[in-house]
Amino acid sequence: MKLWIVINTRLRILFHSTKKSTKSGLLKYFLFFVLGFFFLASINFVFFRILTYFNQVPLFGPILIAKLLSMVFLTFFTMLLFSNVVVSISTLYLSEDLNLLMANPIPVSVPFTMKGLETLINSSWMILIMSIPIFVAYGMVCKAEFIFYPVAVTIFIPFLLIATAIALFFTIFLMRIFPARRTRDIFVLLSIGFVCIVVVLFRLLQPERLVNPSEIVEVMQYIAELKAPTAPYLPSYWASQAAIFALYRKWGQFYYYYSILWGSAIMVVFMLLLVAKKNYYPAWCNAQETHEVKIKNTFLERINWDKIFNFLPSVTRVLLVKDIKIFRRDPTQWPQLLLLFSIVIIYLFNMHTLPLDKLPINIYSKYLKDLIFFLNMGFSGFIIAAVGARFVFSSVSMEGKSYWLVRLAPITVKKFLLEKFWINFFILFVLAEVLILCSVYLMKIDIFMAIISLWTVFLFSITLTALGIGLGSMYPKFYVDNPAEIATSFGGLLYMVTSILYITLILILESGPVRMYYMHKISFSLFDVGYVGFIFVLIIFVSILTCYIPMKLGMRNLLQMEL
Amino acid sequence: MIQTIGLTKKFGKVVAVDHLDLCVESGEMFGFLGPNGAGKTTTIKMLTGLLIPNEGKVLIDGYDIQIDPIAAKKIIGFIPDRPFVYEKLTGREFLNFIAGMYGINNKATSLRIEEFLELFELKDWGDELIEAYSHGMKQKVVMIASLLHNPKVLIIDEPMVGLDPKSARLVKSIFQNLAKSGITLFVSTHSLELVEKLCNRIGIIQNGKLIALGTMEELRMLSKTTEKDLEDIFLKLTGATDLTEIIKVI
Repeated sequence: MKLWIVINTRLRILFHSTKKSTKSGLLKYFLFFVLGFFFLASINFVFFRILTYFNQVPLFGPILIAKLLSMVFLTFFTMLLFSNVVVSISTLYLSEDLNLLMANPIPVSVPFTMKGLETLINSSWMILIMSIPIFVAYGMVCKAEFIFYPVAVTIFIPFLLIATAIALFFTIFLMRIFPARRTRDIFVLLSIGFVCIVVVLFRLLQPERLVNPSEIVEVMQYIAELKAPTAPYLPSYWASQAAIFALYRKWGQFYYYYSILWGSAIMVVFMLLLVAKKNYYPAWCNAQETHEVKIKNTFLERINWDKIFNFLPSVTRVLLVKDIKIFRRDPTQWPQLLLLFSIVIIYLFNMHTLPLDKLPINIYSKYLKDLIFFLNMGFSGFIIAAVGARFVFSSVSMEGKSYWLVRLAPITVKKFLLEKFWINFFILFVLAEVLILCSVYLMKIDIFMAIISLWTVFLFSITLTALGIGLGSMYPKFYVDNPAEIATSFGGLLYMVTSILYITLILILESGPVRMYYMHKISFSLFDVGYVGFIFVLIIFVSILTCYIPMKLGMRNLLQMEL
Repeated sequence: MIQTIGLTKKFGKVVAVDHLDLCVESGEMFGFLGPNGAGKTTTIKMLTGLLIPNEGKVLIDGYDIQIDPIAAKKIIGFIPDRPFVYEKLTGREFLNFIAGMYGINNKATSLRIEEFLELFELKDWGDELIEAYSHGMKQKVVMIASLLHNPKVLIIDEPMVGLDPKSARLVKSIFQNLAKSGITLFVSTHSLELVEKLCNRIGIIQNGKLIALGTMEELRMLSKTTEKDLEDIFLKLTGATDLTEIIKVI
């Protein structure tokens, strides 16, 4: 009864917060829905293609299909464990409403169950949604009966329950020893680091080799030979086996794994509740203790940033030094740096492994290489946009609840935004130019193309910085705890979409003069300077508009914002 | 020094501040009182330029805060009720940051920072991250920050929240000294004792409207009471005298 009161209150809070939807809120949901739909559709498409391909492989087909599903479940299980640990520390140990709940005369199992359910929902919904297109692809390829889909849902329920329960067991004991906030930060970092390693390793494995028919047979035989179950005692294996047998309508074997899965889920949840009864309260108390906040005497702390940036004007310097120090000391800001670092590694690896030696050897091959490089500028533009979303777009919001100090200071909003612009532009510009110079070196590019690319990324850096500062001011998020939420907010998504549109437009515009230059070199056709000049002016015009409009609107929004 | 002319702020259909006309003279310590939700913080935010009024204007030493915000902000110091500051900076770093934002980061300011840290008993905490500070300590850091640039006008929202008795006494004497040195203080508070002891004049706001303005004596006359206590005068003017029903329920 008491648990229902608490859950009901939580649902009412959720209901009230959704009722406040404004027009921009609806637009936001619409954009999320459209992007989400395309994302899920693309997952479905990729899996459908892979499974169709596997299905046609004689002998190995069903083994490969089952293997892939067990790998999917194993990946999901690992992701669920990590996300459940991170989410449970926030919900079960750091939520502000716990003080109120713990002060009430209710058994400790009530807040534990409520927060446990919250953890289950918060950390599993994304995996659940992501699994839909995968299961649909399996159903389509293996021509499953309709019953497969509801059965798949009932397989997922105990699977998710087990993952959450194991994570909650783990955090109960973790929180009895360590303070909550620091542990969560470390786990966030570990999770992101784990994802980065997986992504980078996957890229380093060069999956494009599978396109080569002589290599694919080898790879498939290898996968198929791994017949022995990789982890037969993990719930991910039971879930994948149950799903596969449901898919092939082998109900006898299905019930075996299905009952193991449900039986384990019920047992583990029951044990968790027993353990929580005695251990949750002391763990929660221990987690509240603040960690050591003394600044350690590290090399980075000893650097006198004020002295280094002494040449900068006062306001620019203090804003920059403040941002550096806060970034250095706030672990919640680091994980995305890891992600960006992985993207850069993948980018450089791509440059390094481009099969340029496989290009046909004729007079065009050199130009073909330059053309590939030109198209690759799109990818470098994407990296600039990704860095921009995390650092530039977020930079205004990162002032957080302390933004009132900026508004109170005798500097105009325009000056504040320009200071932010120059600091961010410099960082983005250096990163972009270094990336392009590395590519020029790795691909041994023609001087003309090198100049074009250096100019283009200069343009990208300046425009994407202004776009980021502008949209960041139009959609600021001063009241979020986690900086990652800023980049993934509606404004952040809008920034990514606009950036990609801008990059594509510029590359399309530039492709005309570039083509004309190569045609001129190959077949001595006319090189129309007037046309090139027109395109150049058009590019500048588009870039100025992309800089000016969001900056102007962002400035207006900040000026009118009520603090 | 501080003048509001027909100052009005609406949030949707709710009129938070309704045509407020006020004039606070130079060197005066002005107490701004009112029940919860009366419009005190909204007024203060408009005085400091953190909120844009729907109607009317705010003049600080003759500068319109909306038309000439830089000139006005240079002479304003503001202490908010909730001290949100950069938690990942140390107290000393935060104060240096503020000095930089006001363009006064020089040796004299550094010395001033040290003096203030000493005065507010924060010297030993100067190199600790602000996230480790208590509410009262954060409040003290914000107070120091508001005084660094020698403001002509100090606007304060609930100065005593979170302060221990010793710090509260210190703050009171600092306010007195500042007023003596010609600085104008605009204090919004629920601490009637502070207002009674220190303020030259008092304004009472209710439902966004200024319902009373004057010295203690003038307020007493206005409330038609012989009570000496500001609390009684305040309760009488705001119509909150009949508390017996509530007490009965409790």
